[in-house]
Amino acid sequence: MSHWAAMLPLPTLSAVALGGAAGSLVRWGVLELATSGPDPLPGTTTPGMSLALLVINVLGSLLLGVLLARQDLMRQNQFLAMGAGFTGGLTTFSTFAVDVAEMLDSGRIAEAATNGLGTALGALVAAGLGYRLGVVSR
Amino acid sequence: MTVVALTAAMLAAAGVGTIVRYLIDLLLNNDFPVGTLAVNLLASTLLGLLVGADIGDSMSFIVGTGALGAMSTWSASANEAAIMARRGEGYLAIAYLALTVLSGVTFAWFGLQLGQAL
Repeated sequence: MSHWAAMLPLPTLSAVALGGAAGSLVRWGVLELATSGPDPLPGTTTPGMSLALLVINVLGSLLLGVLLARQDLMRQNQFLAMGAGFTGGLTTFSTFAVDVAEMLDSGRIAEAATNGLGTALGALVAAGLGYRLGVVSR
Repeated sequence: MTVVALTAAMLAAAGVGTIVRYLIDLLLNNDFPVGTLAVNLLASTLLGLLVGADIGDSMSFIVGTGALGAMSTWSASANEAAIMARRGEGYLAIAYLALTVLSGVTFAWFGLQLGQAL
């Protein structure tokens, strides 16, 4: 990443943006399915949504691990579209952080701790596992 | 706004959010992923503000789900930590993720409080 000025051409930025939009669409679709039923109040989340978000973040971390192990087998823009783009847009930190902050705010300390630790450890293990899978599949 | 227009706006915002993350990562990520940490903290603070201020469904869909959702990431953070662990810096990996989660939740909490006060 040292020659970063070489990473800015329009096709690269388009690939990153399209991948990010696609990942975000999938994330939204999955979260919508997980919260089907009566709409929660704006800004509030349901237990089903927190769990679905955890699964999304873990699976996206696994996928990026696979991609990193196979990076040299792909064209650069293809790797960036799928990695920085798709897995980056699919997974999200901001909703996770606000969700946990709201749990703390309403005194659900155990739920907040479980969600925080579970997501961090799950994503880390998935990233390592994904990398192994990517290496094995070469 | 129709559902189609709303979805298109969300996707465009997600594209922009992804490019912002990509550029900040290129500029700031080093041996330590300062850029990823920065985008995650910024997006968490802003989403806290939006949710706290209750800006309405359309805006929270476009900016929250789209721009901030795509700008922040877990896949990069988890894999950056896994890379640290693979190069023998397991404690740094744990410290990085702990710092990310604890500061991210703290920033989101302050965003929520500030948003509610607005």
